[in-house]
Amino acid sequence: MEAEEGGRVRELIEKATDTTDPGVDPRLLKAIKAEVRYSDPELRLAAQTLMSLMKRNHSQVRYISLLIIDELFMRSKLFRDLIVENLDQLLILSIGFRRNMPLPAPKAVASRLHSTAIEFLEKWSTTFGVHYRKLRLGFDYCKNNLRLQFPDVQGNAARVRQERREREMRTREILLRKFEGLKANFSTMKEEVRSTVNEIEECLTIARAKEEAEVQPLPNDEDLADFQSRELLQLRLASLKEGKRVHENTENKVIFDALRESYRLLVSKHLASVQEWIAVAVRVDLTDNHLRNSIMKELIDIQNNIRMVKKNCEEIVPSLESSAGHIDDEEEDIWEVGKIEAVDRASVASREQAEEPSIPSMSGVKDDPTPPNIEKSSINGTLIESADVKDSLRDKLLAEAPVVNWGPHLNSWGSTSDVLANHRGLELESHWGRVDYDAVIPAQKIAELNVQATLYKEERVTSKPCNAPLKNGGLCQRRDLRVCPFHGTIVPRDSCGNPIYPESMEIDQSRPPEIDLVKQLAEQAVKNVRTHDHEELERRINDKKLLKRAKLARVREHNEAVLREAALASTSASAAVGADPDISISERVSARNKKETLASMLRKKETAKDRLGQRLLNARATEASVSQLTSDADACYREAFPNQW
Amino acid sequence: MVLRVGHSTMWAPSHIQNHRFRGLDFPTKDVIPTDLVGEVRYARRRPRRMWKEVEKRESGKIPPFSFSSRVRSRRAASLQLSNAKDIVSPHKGSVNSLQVDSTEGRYLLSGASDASVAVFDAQKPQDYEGGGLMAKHRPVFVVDKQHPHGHKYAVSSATWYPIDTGLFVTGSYDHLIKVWDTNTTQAVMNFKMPGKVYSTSMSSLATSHMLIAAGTEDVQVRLCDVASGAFSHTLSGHRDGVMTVQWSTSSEWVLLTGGCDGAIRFWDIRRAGCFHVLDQSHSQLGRRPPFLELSAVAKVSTSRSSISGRNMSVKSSASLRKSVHGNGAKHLSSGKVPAKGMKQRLHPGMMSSQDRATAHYGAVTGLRASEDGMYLFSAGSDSRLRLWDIESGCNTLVNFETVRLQASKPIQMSLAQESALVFIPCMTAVKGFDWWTGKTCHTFRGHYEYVNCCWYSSQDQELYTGGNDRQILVWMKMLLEMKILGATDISHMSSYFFKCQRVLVQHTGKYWVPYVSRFSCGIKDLCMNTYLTKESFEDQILQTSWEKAFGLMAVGL
Repeated sequence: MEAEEGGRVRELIEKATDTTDPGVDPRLLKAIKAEVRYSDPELRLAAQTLMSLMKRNHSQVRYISLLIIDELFMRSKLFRDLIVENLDQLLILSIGFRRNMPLPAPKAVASRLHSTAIEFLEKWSTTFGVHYRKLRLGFDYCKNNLRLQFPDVQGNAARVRQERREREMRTREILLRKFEGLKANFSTMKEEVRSTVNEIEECLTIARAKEEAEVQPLPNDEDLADFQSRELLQLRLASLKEGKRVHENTENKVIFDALRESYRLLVSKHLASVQEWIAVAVRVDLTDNHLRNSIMKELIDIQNNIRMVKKNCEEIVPSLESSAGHIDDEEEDIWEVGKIEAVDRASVASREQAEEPSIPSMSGVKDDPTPPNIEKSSINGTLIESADVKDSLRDKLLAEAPVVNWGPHLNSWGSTSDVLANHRGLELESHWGRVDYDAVIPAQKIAELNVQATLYKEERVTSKPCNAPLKNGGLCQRRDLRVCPFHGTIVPRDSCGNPIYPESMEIDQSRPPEIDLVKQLAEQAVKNVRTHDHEELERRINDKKLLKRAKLARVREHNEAVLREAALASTSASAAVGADPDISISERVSARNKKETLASMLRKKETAKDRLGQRLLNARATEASVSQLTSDADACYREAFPNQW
Repeated sequence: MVLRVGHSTMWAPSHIQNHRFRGLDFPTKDVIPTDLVGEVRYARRRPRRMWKEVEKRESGKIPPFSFSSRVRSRRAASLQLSNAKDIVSPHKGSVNSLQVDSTEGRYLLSGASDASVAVFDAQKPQDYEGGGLMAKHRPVFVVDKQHPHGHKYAVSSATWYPIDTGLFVTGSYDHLIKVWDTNTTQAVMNFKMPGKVYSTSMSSLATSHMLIAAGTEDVQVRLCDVASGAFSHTLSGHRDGVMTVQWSTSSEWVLLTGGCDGAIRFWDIRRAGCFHVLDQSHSQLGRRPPFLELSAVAKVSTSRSSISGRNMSVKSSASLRKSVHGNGAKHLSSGKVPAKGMKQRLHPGMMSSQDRATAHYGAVTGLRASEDGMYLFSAGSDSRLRLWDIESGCNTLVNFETVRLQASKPIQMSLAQESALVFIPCMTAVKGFDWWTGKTCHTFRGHYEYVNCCWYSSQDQELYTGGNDRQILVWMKMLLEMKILGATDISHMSSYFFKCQRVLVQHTGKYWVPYVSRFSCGIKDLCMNTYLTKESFEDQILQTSWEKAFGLMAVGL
């Protein structure tokens, strides 16, 4: 039983290492772990097998073994004991620091093996070094004597942590300094803001005083109730608002200038600085929060005050707002050069909507601010809809319309009238005979003549990037027409690189008949073989006359069976023929797809240069070129000295 | 030294002989408590071999020295790489020489290729790491190139002054031998040698001289007199550089040298010239039979006990043996009084054939004589380890299973006398061989490059090894994990306590809970169930009742 089990673990490990993948098959690994988990002899066998595999003259085998060793090493104490016992061996085989025992081919895997081994050694020694002197010794030796570069994971993490802490400290210091500055300048700043606000208010009062008489009283609720229709209410509100506004004229120009000046000061300087201060006060980390709270309160008050004043200004003096808004619009125009119209419209609508709430609040309607909103949006909606209808028609037409080069033939585009053939518009005396002035070229003929010869112009295809996910986390940026040489057919993929339309369906569709055929064939073959065997057996059994012969026959039969088994086993696909055809097929498919084996990894890859070399440097080619050259030289000679040969 | 005259017992069976000789130089501070009455109850709980032995010892069936030597050899038999004891090597080059002082058995001296010398306290660690799992033994001091008196090139050998730890001697490839004052770490004396110094040695028996024997690139062996600061002797005879020198462990006048010419020469420093050259073809099979038997056999036939390969006459071998005896002042026991005339005739200008004898093909890279002065181990660049019977001068033909030895450098071997083990660096490993069978008992794999030296501390039963990978590793019996937590001032605790290193003292609030982890005998219960305050714990330590307990632990596990 035990031996059988032991065989299993060894088999599993050998199977796991017999791959060209850059990692262990997780299922196999799980199986190995499960196998090893409950029995010590099993684990010993695993350690022994892995160590013997580490001696294999193939870096890939060593690499996979090392990965398995690491998995077990981190989990089992007994395994650690066993491995640490031969740690020097393991290190020599995996790091390859002995000059007489370098890592075997293939080179790429060997370097990966080397770096992985170093990484593992560091990990092991930081985790278990305390308990294993040999582990510490190995690590010390590699670090101090061989001076290998360890990734120093822990150290790096500590360094990153340290850096982050320093950065935080620095920002905290800066904030603190700013806050100190704020504390120092707080009173003067407050003073400045207040003076500006006062100035604005004075300006406003002066400006308002001039047009006092024209201002109408505010409408009360009853008035509002009168306006049944929403639209009328809207109009009313707008007019009220308009009425409230003060308009600039030559008389109050000075006041307006001052107002504009201080408004700009307030918005661009004070509001911004107050907001900044608030941000500082929020983020600063103080031991005494009392002062901070009080300052913040004041700041928020100031901010609100400024906002209110600003709003007031904008309400009363539209030119301020419009000027500011205009500037904004201009800026937006600059930035939105490439945008589509629809977006613009949407943004405009949203802007309108955003502005809306101010309408009722200004006019004092606070109980029901939603209706106008709704209405407006509905109006907008219809507008947009109609536009959409038009657009859709136009789009349809546009889609249908042919693209034609510009030319004189466009003059008669779509005309169905016939053309007078001899009518040039000029009355010229013709001496060539009679002219039939009524001759007509039919429209059909005209159309025929007007058919444009079009040159085929290759359509410029913008090939999309492959976007298959890469190992380093990015996406493949190769632009190929249809097939990426690394990732196969280019399919639309999402931002993570996963194909949006799973292709399995297509493949499935394409597969079944093939699979069925193969399956049928395989089954047929098996049946044939079996019936054949059966017949043979029967014949043998019937042939009981000579016991000796029968015996011999049985031996032969056995041999045959063995041979047949061997033959079946030798082809990977046919091994499982009777049992599970699906697996056999998948295996065969995979075998066909993945030609890479451990042996093929060792082989040198054939490059274009090699192929060229094969073609050009073989004996025949060289001979031919030599003879060609000599004959050329001969010809030259003959030409130069025609009388000498 | 008078007591060492008892070499007559070399004919006695080995175990008796061992115990008797061990008794003589057994350090008194290391005595295993013999009064075990109090501990017997634990022994009864768990009848193990050990406890049976303790019972036997209690009842007097086993003599104390035999008991201790058994314990020691058992411990020596289970050496492995110590996780707890960590010697932090400050060397930036290969470690060439290691030695623990012979007086206290506490300070480890190491010399390395980066011209540095370091001294470690091998018993008391400076600090602990990994939550008390690893005891770090940092160097007490380091002398390197920056030191004003430091060597310029590699230090090839560093040896303690055998009488106390106040002096040590270093030999270096910069042609200098320096004598250092340990306390001030200043070089107090310089000897300029004619070539690279390979090996230095001081006699641990010497009472009448203070000579440093130096083997150098030069063919001559020089003896440096520390008392006068000059060369007192120049011994010529080797035909090539001298890789290794070693004073005899039985006579203060006898010096053994092994050269690159493959010869091992014996010198009596009171006379001119060498008096013996070991010959590898002059052999005997294993140990000689006891004397009486031998003489009886010799009377009957000349060569019944000798093997076919032995081509020397009994007469000449006897004379040789006598010469050794005579020079070693050991003739009291030898029974056969040598004929003076023959020795006289032979010695100064030995027969040229004998003078050309070789012990190894290639250079002799290591020499080590057993503590009783009876046997000599030699390692050569022919990858052979040979065991010589000093008395007969014969190669004992024990086949040691060495695979390969480092040939280019002197290697330092070490012996464990009680358990009859020889430790020798074999490339990247250190191997322990049984003396008489030559079988490999231990293979210590830990170094990543060639090992140059090893030193077995018989007092602590620990093996120290140093190699080209700059590490000094400690191999000891791994019984228990030593873990001392929160031990703030532990210097007062008894040295034995630390030497054994099996106590885990956990400081839990006001209690010191001494207990032993991975402990499977009754002592555990004793320790676990005894809660002591710090004061009473210290009292107990001072009153040595605990020491006894720990002593027992040390013995038992």
